[in-house]
Amino acid sequence: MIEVSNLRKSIDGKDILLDIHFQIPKGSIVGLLGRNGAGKTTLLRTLVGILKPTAGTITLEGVDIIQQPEAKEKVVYVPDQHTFLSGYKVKELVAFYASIYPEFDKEKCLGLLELYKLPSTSVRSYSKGMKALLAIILAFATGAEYIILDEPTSGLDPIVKRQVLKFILNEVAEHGTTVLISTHHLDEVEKIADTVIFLNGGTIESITSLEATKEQFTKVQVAFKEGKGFEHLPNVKILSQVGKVSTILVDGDVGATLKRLEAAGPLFMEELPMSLEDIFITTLGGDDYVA
Amino acid sequence: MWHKALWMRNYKKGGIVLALLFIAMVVLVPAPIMGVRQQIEWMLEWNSTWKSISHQFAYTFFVGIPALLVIVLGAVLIGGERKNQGLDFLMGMTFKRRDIFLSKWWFGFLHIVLFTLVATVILFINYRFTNVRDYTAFMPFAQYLWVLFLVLTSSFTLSLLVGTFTGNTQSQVLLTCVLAVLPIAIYFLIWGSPLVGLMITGPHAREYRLGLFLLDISLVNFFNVRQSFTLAENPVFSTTIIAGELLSGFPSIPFISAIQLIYIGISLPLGISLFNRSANENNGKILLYKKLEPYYLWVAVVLSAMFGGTLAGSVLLGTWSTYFIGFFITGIFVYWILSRILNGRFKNGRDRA
Repeated sequence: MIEVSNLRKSIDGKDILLDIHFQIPKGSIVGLLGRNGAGKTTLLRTLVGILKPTAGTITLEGVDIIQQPEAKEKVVYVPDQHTFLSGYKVKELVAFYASIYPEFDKEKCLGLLELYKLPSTSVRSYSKGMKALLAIILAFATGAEYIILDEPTSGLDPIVKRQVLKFILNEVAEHGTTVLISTHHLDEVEKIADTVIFLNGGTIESITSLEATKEQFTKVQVAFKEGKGFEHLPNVKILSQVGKVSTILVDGDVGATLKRLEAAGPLFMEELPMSLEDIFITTLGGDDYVA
Repeated sequence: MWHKALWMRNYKKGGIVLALLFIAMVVLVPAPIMGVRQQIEWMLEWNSTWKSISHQFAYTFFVGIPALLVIVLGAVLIGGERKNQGLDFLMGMTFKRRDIFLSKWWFGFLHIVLFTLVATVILFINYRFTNVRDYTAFMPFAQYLWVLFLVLTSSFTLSLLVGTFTGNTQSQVLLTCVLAVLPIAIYFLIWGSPLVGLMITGPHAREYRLGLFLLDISLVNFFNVRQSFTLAENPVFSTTIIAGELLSGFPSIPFISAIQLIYIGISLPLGISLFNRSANENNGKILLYKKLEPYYLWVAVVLSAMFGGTLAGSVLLGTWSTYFIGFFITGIFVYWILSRILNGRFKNGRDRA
């Protein structure tokens, strides 16, 4: 288990992360969500020891990874940029990773490279998407128990993106690998994550299972003849409004709220399928959500 | 620090500079002995009655170019790695920061040792199997090789130290060069300014001694040592002449060794300590620590202003007014430029939370 306690990170006197606490249990896929500048990349880079925490601890199976970086043998971080890989040939990279991670599975790595049609040439000739895929394959071939991915599908075409997500799911299912994934692609998180961490202004807004998150919220389209029948309800947030038709998100106490809306006599009212994006916008959007 | 992956990475990153260093060491370092051979041949051909003559050669190219290359090697190993996220990558792995730094130092140091040995062998072969050995001892060359080895090690270590508080290759090379010339540059700037010249009255012996001391401790001075030694003709005329005796008035070998060891002794532990705290969030910036920026800015502005004043004074017949005009114009200009550069990053720098 990765455990983060009282983590704080300041950069040039500015607090980027404030008193972060969370745990990542083994075998889970955790989505890290937040707006630009929320501190996601800083959090990931601090988690793996690239940045030193201003305060707090990060432990892996009870071992402080900042004090004892050897414990990171079980963790692989895949950054969102892959300039580091560019100077290498694929076989050099395989040798490089194999020298660091004793569990590195060379055959699995070469098999996956072949499966995804990645040539054994210089990485310099790779496209951005190919580099991203290569980095993910190398990470999973290490046999690490924890994989931390920062924007892993950035630059991938939809087909490869789907393959990558499927690949991640398979790895988790087969090997019990734990994955922490930071992304702006909420549909991806929705497809693969079982827990979601919302980061807002350097603090954790919420940590919930995706199922619980969706149960907590309900998306409703409703229209009233005059005014809005939900103005007085504190747990209702507007997603969009066109004429008299409003699309709203009910946050908690769903049954009672729907009854109160019905009692207000709407012209029509209909529950809609809800996406993580709706929750993201209403939870983290502040006053800027699209109305 | 001996982990295979760290060395693979160092070779990957520093391979080209290392190859250039090897070529420079093999080609340049043994070159002074050719000058000795030429001089001996010339003397034998044109003046067969010479008893002894002093031969002089400057280290400038023979030591200076390899020294610049090891500074660049240090910058590639740290500054270059900051720029392409190589350090991020390694620090996100199982390595201790101390081991990453020490692997770079040992990488550079062992190659300096190896290349110096190769150059020594080449130089010795040129000595042993030519007529040079009839006219001089090997000692002057051994001293030259020893100084070369020390200067390369201290220059490389200083470059790595500077890499622990600079954010990219360019600023690392620039600041290492500035530190290499800083003591003597301060001396020349003060000595050369008409302002101080007017303030100094009476004998200048104390200032002169201070100047010599600052010159002697400047790293750049060791790139430019001039070595003089006797060439003795054996055995008829030279019974009282010691072949290879040093005639130079330059710092003694023990003094040079002591200064270089002090440079290494300070730079290495300080480098390990600072690298351990490396503020990687500022990789790509000129300096890693924002707190240092005002000091860097004002030191650079004052030194540049003094240089501007000195230049204006020397071009326009050194008066107070021309010195101050040069001083303020240069100072304001450098402040304006640097304050903007310090807020920016070089290409590929990260700028995200």
